[in-house]
Amino acid sequence: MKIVKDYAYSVCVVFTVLALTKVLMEGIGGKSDPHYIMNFGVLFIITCFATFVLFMHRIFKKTPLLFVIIGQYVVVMGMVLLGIFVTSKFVEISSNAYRDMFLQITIPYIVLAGVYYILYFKEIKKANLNLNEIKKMGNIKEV
Amino acid sequence: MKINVYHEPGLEENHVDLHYNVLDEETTAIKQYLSTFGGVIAGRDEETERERMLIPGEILYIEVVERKTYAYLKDSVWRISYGLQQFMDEFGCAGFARNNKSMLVNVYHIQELKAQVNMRVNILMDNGELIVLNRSYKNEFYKYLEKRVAES
Repeated sequence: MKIVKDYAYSVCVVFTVLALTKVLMEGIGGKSDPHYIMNFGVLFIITCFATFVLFMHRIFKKTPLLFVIIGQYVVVMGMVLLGIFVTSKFVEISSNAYRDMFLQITIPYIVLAGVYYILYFKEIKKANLNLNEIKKMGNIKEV
Repeated sequence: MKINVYHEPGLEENHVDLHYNVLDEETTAIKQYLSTFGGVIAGRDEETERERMLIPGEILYIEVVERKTYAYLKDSVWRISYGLQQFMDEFGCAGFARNNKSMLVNVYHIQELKAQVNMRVNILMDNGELIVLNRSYKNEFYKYLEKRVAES
């Protein structure tokens, strides 16, 4: 049950990040999306799928995390681009659809991966400080 | 240094108190010795069948291989008759933390944690050996260190 809760929570966070990226990109580019409702719907489906793929890292516990992160990115990006390709066979899509989707996923992904990477090194630094402290104090309670 | 030994049948738990006015070399050495102590464990060398008593503080790490538990010292390996959980329950307070499913590592024998480019964490032990800190046990391990610091 906890994993379902975590998943739902993550979908909300990731969707918010992606939606904000979309809005920011439009704001910076000075363009507005004529298919807002449909694109937000697609974004939500992508979010659910991408978060599901990210959650799969629990299965690859023995694989180095960097490879898992890169592998997940390749899978998500591949599926999204494939999805756009399939969609383009049935409905008309924007000429920038591939580029927009690429940026909309890549930018937050790189930012989040970067944050995670920094936290990873900070965690180890802190753990080493704790280790030094523990060794300095010894296994004895001072009175 | 004056040494007093008391026999107290009604005592709840055996303990050692060290009294000093100045932390000199002798006192520091005794303190260091006591800090590595935490009971004794019978160990057996599987090659020579030799047996000896091990002090938890001298064990670098414990590993279970094919349902057999081994205690790794700086330069020798001894088979012990404990499960990981049982060992943890009895000697965990001597500084043992879980770093993966089949291992316990003595934090007092860790030189440092090493970050890898592939985001793995290796534990460099006092004898130069590298042990992997499994991702599943990483948070638990870090929390243990914090708890240990808070207690000291």
